[in-house]
Amino acid sequence: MVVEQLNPSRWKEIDIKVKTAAIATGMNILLTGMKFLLYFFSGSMAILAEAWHSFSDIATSFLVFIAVRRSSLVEKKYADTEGTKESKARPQQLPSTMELFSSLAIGVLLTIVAGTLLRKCIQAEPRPIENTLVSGLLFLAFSLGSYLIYRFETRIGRKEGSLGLVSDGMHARADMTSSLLTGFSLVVYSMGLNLDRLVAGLIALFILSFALETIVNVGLVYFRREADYFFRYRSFKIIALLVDRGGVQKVNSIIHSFLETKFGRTKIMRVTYRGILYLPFMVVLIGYLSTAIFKVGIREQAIIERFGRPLSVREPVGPGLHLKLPWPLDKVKKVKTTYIEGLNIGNITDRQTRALIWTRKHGTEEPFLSGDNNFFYPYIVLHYRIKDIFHYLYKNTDAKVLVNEVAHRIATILFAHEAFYNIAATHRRVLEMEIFKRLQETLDELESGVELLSVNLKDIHPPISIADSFERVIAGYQEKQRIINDALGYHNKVLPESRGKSVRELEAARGYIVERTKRTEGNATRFRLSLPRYSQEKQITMSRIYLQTVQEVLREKTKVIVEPGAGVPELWMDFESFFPMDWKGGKNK
Amino acid sequence: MRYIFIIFGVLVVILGFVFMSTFTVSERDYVVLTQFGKPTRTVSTSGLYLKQPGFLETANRIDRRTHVFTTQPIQLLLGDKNPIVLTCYVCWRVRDPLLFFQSLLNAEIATQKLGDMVNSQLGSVLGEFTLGNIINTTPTEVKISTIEDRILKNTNVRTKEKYGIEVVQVGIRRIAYPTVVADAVYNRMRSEREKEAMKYRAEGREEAAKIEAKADREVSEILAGAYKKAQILKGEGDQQSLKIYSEAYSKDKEFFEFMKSMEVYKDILSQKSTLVLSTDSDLFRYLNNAQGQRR
Amino acid sequence: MSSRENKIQGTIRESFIHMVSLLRWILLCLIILYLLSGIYSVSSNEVGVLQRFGKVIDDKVQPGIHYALPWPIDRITKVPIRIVNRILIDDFYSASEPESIARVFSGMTGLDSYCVTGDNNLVNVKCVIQYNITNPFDYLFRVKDANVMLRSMACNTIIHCLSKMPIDESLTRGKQEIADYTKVALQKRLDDSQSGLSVSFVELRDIKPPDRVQEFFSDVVKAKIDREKMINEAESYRNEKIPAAKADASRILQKAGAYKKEVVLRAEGEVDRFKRILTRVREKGDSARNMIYIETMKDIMKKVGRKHIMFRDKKGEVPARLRLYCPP
Repeated sequence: MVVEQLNPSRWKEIDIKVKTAAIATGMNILLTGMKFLLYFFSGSMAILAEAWHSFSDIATSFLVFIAVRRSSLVEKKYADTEGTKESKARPQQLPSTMELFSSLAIGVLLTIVAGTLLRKCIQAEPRPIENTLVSGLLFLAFSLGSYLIYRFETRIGRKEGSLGLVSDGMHARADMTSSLLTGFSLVVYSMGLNLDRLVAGLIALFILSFALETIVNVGLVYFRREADYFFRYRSFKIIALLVDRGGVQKVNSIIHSFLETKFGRTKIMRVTYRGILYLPFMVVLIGYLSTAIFKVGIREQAIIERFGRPLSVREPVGPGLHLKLPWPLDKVKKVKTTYIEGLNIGNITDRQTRALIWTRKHGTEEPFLSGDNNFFYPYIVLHYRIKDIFHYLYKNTDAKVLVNEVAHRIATILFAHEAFYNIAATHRRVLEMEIFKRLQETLDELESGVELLSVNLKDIHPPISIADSFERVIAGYQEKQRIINDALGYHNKVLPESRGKSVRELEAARGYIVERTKRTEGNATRFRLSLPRYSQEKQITMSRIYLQTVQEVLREKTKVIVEPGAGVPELWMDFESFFPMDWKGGKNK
Repeated sequence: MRYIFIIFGVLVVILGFVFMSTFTVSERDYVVLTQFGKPTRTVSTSGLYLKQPGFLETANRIDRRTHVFTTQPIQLLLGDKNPIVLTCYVCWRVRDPLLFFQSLLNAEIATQKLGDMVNSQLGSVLGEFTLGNIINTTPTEVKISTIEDRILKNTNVRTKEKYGIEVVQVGIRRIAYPTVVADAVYNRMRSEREKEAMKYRAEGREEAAKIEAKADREVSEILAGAYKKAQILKGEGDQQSLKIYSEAYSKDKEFFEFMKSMEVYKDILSQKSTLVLSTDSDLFRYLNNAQGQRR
Repeated sequence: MSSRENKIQGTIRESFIHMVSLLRWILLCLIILYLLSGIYSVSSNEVGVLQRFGKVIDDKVQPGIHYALPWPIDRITKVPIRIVNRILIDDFYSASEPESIARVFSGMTGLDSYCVTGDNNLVNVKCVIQYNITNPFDYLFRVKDANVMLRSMACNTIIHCLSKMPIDESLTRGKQEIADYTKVALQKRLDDSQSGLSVSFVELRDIKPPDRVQEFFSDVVKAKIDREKMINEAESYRNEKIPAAKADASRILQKAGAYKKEVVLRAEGEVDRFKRILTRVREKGDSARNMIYIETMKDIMKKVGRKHIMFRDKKGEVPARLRLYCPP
């Protein structure tokens, strides 16, 4: 009978309602097929839900088709008997038992499907979805298709007065909405935000509502015996009935009429003003919902706390955009894990110091004690990273303080075993490694969640007042050299001088020897040469020299020569002229 | 006409879209792409690349060039307790862009952290060497290159794996002594030079004294020699004259004495002399009587 | 009313259309200008590096005028490759200018600037390095602050060299060695870090002891000079005295020779006279001799101041009493 009806030659004769229903069914079949294909193509759960949703739409469309065809046949029958009084009263055809049964079956099936989907959504692991961008765009296209069906069916349905078609059109509109949702969620997924399960859950709810609708309607038809009931009740009406009978309707209608009286010329204005009225609510709603999205920065990891307890102990949430339950339910704690932190142990250099010189104060002055009872000031800088944020956040109250304390203690202990010079110079490298090893071990034991990267003994110096003395010790060696040099300098000066002096004396003595010798030799030789060699010579020479000498001596002298024969005259010497003296006193005049 | 507007508008939109979804990687950068914080990929070759538009994917640029910085002057102790003050320079570059970006954020922070590590390494490595390994007149004892290499290696061990940085070169840029030690060194230098100066001057004085003394001796030798020769000459003269005299006068010795005496009398008896003669003398014997007889 | 409105609307629309057509021309010009902005020139001492979307497609663009696609497609960076740059390394020199590195260092630490030599002496070094950019790619893209790098590495090589050399050598014949070593070692370091720079010349402008001990170093030189001076003075003393002595000596000899001659001549003269008289006397005999005697007496008596001739009496006594008065 169906085949007969669908004979192309008789197409025009068929009622438009039937055509509509047929086309709708056909399109739904097409859409469903493509959606299932896409599901296999991409693996998205939302797509799967959507496919089942469309499948349910096929079922309804098909039922509508059958119902419409039946009614059209009945009409035809009555159309043949036009004019009779009975034609005015068309008895309503109740849907046959088969139809009712199949509707019920579909309703039950869909309930099961919805339940399964919901379970999957809640429990399953998030799977990676492929080809999201393409799928998303296709789904947007599908939504256009659904929109088309919706307009088409509702128009025809309203025109022809078929409640079934109108309700099916509404279904198509719901389909459009869910396709849009799916499409957008897929596109957003390609940006990193995974809304797949959420959307799948929503669609599953849709399906559930629809299944509920179907069952209720079937029940009503069965018990109330009215064909109209088959398509009457929509989900929200059912919920509204459960919640507040007609309350929502009343509010809706009040607002509607209010708006209509005030502004209600054009539909656009009405829609706009309705939008503005609802805007604050929408803003608050969106704001609230936005706390459900959070971003984890590139250097961070995050933990979601649900009612104070952390989720997913195995793996913290990595960088990127993520979803959680909105505010009071879920809270996020973010911690920088890849960033290398620096921690100052012991002492901290002042911000503005440029040079670390021992005689200038360049930081805090917390002293440590070395093994040989010397105070000194170490400046230690730790580089660390947080490797396990669970331990970091939950095992200790303040891990940073903990690291500081432990490092401080280890350093103090190790320093107390070494002499200052060993700490500052000879064992410095060994100490660094030892502090590193012990610190890392202790931190792991205490489950601090901290990974140590390096321990840097940046500056180790004695107290400023003593620093001078340290330097003087080394300066002392130079002083020693200086004193030695000064002595050597004196040595260098005195030795040559005395050598020179000795040479001077030596040479003078030598000269004296020569002089004396030569002089004497000369005199002697002269004497020897002037000696007369023969006695005769000697005689002559003696008399000659005697005479010569007398001549020279007695020349020009006052002489008195007395010949012996002259007697002995009284020689009065005139004393006064010989020795002119002042007899009166005094010596020479 | 309206079409032109439409086309133009479309062009602008397309350009805008292109602009927002492309980025260039310069030859001197690495680029790390992140999507709302999640790192997606790293690009190390230069060129034009696609990314997701606008704020959906961010291109973070990281300078891949070799950087250099100088550490602050730090006073350290060598293994033999000598204090010195050093600065050194460090050349480094990014080795793993993603790790660097996550660990250190930018070059300034990297410099700070590297500075901590290098200063610490300076201290530990130098604590195992002595001053004789830094300065020495025997070139093989000087181990500055070894020190620099060791610092480089020790730092790289950590930074390559955990910080994403590779240190390329470390070198000492300045060595100085603390004030007290420097003053002592100056004093020692002064005393060294003074010692040398004194040596030279004293040597000079010594040489001069030697030369002068020798000269004086030579002078006296010469003079004495001359004196001797002169005396010899004079002696020869005396000898010759004596010979002449004696030769001649010995022919008649008596006559010579007579002549000479005559001369002498003539010479010495002058105005100042007084003669007391007797008539007994030969000359005045005729004063007694004409026959010259004595009484 | 409505027609006027229509007219107004019409004119507004017309002017709008005109404006839009003008806009079209403006747009065209802008587009042409944009395309022309790709023209650039590279001057003769430069070399250009052309990047397309960041990727280097030519790192040796020669001097001249070229065309490249405009920004942001192409980008040209010009590198002064033929300019010889000069940098003065005065890190180890005494602080003079306020911004010099030595001054900064002194402010930070309170220490002077110097370099330490192999025998633990301190010197001030000033050095000039000439360099140019030989690899523009490396200079632009592989290295940041190549100039700072150069300075640091130069200081490092100077330290390496001087720490093996004693101060006396470094102040004198080591200067060339320092410059040579620096050139080679510095280039190696620059190449290791891919700086793209090339050192062409290293000149050791000045190397001297620090100011505080400068005078003592120059005193050593003065001392050497003093030594030479003293020796020279002694030598000139010697060169003066010895010839003078020789002159004196010859004078003495001369005098003695003269004496000798004189004495001999006198003797000969006297002897000659005597011989003559003697021969005469020998000829004449005794009377000649008496004559001589009497002549002589005559002369004497004439000359003598006072003469007393005494008579002896028969007893043989001299009766007279003579009072001799001897005036001076």
